Amino acid sequence: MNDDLSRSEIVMDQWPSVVYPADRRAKLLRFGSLFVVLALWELVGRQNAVFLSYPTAVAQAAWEVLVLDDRLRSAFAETLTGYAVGFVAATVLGIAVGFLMGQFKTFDIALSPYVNALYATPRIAIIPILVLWVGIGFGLRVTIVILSAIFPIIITVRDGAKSVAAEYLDVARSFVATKWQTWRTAILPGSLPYVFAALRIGAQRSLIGIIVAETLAAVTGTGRMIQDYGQFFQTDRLLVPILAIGFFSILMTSALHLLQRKVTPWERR
Amino acid sequence: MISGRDVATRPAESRSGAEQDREAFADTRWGAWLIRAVTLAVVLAAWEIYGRSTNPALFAPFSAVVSAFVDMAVTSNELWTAAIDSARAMIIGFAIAIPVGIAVGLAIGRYRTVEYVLDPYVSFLYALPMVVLIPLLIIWIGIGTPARIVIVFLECVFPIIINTIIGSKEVDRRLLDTASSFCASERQTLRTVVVPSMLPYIFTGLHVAIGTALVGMLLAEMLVVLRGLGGLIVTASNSYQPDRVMVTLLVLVAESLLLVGLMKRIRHRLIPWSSENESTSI
Repeated sequence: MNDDLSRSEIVMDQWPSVVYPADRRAKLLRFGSLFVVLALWELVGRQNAVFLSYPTAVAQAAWEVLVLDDRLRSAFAETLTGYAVGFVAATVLGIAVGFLMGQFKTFDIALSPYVNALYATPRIAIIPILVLWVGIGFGLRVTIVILSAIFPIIITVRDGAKSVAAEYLDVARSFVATKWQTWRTAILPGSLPYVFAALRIGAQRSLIGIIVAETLAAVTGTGRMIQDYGQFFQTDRLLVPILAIGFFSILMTSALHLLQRKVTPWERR
Repeated sequence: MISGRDVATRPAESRSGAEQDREAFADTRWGAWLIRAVTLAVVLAAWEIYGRSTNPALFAPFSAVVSAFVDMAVTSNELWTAAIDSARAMIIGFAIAIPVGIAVGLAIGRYRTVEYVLDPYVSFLYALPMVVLIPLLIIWIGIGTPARIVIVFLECVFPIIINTIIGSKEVDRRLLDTASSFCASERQTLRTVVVPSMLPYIFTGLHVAIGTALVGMLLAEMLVVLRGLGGLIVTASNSYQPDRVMVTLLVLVAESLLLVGLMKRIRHRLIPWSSENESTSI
């Protein structure tokens, strides 16, 4: 089986949750370096505004494109709607298919080659042909988000049974739990951490997918705006959606970490 | 420290006895192959029937894809030319990312000061989908081959950095204590303790990076230069030739499975003492 693929990414998923001792030296170094970087950027950027832009110009551009003008705001809204709908659909479908594959060996054997191959293949490659099939609007956004997010979810839910401690399965068997009961009380809760890891991977991958789709095909949306600002060399404006997407990605990951802590209280230390 | 609790890879638990009996057929070698063959036949038949009934500008039946493959790969060699063109930029970007990723990861993982200074930026860039940087990169370095290499590099350097960081923090304390008891220099410690115990993690990073390198290669070819396999996909789609798109997609699937398999093979050669599962458990 190809489950090591998903495992590899799950390990990396730990990085943002690394907990540091918040000592004063750490704070000092972090804010110090941030200050130095921003100051240097401001100094060097002013010499060549098209090439690098500079922090105050970016702040001013942010005010212009986010507050005075509503084009970028409505682009964000459009992107986010497609992202949210696709992500929820991928979660539901992914858990359902993963469950079927985990519980019924025939399904697993039949579908695994396709799931593993699609998991390993870069999904952005299918965007141009998806445009022919589903057009360039909302449908494209939802489809690419589903295709980006669903395979990590399927694989982790499928392998969920393997990641549950043997004792729990033994207890379930001793109490003559049915297959469904075993799944609901032991396998599902036991594999939740992995499912959340998969959701975080899916969240990241679908963000890539939706931006590429919007850059390649959609005439609106955040990807399109980024492309436009780039083509007109408006580096200060270009940096606004770039920074926004970076922070959104971090926000999404932290929100999923938080939700995980809420639904798996027994994992808390 | 890294919280390892939700990644601990438990040993694969075998299925319950009753389950095995009930699905004994699927467990036999022949049963599995039969199921796979039947699925494949159903998939191919559905593909063919649907493909023939629908608009040929949008979807191609399996037989058309086969003849397009012959056309692109046997009669002419445009498919191989494109694949080699793609692979070249990808391999260069990947090859640069390996030493850079390991060096940066090692510096962050081993030295607290470096970690405090750099980790906000590494975290941010790791979370950022690299595709949004492409317009900026075009302003900075244009649309030539260097841009392709840089995009691949950016796509695969962060998985390597992050796995190296995790690996260098997971070095066995006792081994480090032994090294310092024997007055090992920093260099000796790195060479004899740190690097060997990090290798499995580095390989995990490379494993992920192979996948992201392919993404970077395609991003560059689809959004920046329109060459190689990504370029083939875009031009064939825009000229309504779904058979050619599907051929290229199948080549990509084969290429990514091949690269991942190759990576596993190399890993097994270089660090036979660590199986994939051991290394990825923290």
